[in-house]
Amino acid sequence: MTEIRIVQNVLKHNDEIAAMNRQRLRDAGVFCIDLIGSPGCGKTSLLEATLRRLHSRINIGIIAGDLATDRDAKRIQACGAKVVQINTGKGCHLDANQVRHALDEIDLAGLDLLIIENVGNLICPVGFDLGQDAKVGMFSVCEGDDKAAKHPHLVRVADLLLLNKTDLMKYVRFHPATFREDVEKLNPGVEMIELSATEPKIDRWLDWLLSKTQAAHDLTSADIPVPVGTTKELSDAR
Amino acid sequence: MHELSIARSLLGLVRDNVPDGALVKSVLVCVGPLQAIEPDAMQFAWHAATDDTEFDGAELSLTLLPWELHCLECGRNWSSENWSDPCTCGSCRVDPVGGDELTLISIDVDEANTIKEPAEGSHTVMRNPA
Repeated sequence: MTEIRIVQNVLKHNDEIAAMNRQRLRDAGVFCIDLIGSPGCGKTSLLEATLRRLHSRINIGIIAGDLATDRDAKRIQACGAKVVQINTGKGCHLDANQVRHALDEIDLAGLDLLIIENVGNLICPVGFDLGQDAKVGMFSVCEGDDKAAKHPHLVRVADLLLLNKTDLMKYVRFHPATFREDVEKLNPGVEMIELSATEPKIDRWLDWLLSKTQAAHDLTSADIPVPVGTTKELSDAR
Repeated sequence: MHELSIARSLLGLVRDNVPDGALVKSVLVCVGPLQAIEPDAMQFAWHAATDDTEFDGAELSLTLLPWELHCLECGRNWSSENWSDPCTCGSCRVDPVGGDELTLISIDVDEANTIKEPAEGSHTVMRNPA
C-alpha cells in the first residue's frame, strides 16, 4: 500500500473559478454580494424594494438562484433590473461555475452592483465561494431568535447580517438581545442591520450598498495593478 | 445536501492525483465544523459519486475536526464540540477560530493491484517526461 500525500482543498476547482469571477467583476468595477437566507425570509422582497429605491441612481444586475420557476426573476425584472435566472433543479446552492456562465450573459461594463440571490438555504450555500466581495446572511424575526445559534456557519462567515420583518416583531416570540448575543459570539463586531423590506424601512441597508459600491468603483479607477497570472487564467477560462 | 457537490469535487481531485490504473483503497479528508457536513450524508454521496467509476469501492475516511475556540478575556485556546462553550475563566466572550477546513489529506493506493493495464507506452511517458 502506498500513501499519496495531497493536502489540497476539496473545493479547489470551485475556488479557482470563483477567483476568476472575482477578477472579472473587479476589473469591471462591480461590487458583488452573495445574499444567503432561508426560503421566505424576504430576499426577493428586499431586492424589489432595493431596486425601486436605487435603480435610478446606480446600475444593478441580479443573478437569481432557485430550484425551479422564474417567478423571482419576473418580480425583479418588473423593478427594472437586468436578471439572469439560474434554475438549479435539485441543487441546493449555487456554485462558482454557474455564476461564471451567468456573468457571460451580463454586460458587466454597464453595471455598478451585482446581487446574487442564492438558493433559499442557510447551510449548503455557505461553503461555496462564488467570487463575491461580501457574503450577506439574511434572517427574519418569524424564523425565531435561535436561528443564528443554529446556523453558526453562515453567521461566522458573513460580512453583513440582515434581520428582516422587524415590523412583525410584536406578533412573534423573538428576543433581539438573544439573537444579537449569539451573533456577537460567533462573529464579533460584524455589522447587523435590522430592516423591514415590505414597509419598506431599508435606509441603512441602502447606505451600506451605496458606500460599498462606490468604494469598488473607486478601487478600479485607481488603476490597481493586476496580480501576475490572473488575466491569463481569465482568458483561458473563457 | 451540499455533500453531493463536495463528493463530486473530491472525485475529480482524486482522479487528478493518482496514477492511471492504480487501485484506490481509501481517501482521507479532514472537515471543519463550518462546512456543516453530515457524515452519513457524505458517505452516501461518496458512494453515489464513485458508483460505476474506477474508484468504486474506495473507502472515504472522514476526520471531523472540533471547533477551535479562543477566549477573548484570558487568551486560552481549546477545542470543543460546541462553539458556544464558555471559557474556564468564566468568560462568555469566546471566538471560534478557523473551522472551514475541507482538505483532501492523502490517498491510499494498492500498487500491487491495478484496475486496468495502462496503454502501452503511457508509463514510459509518465516516468520520463523529458
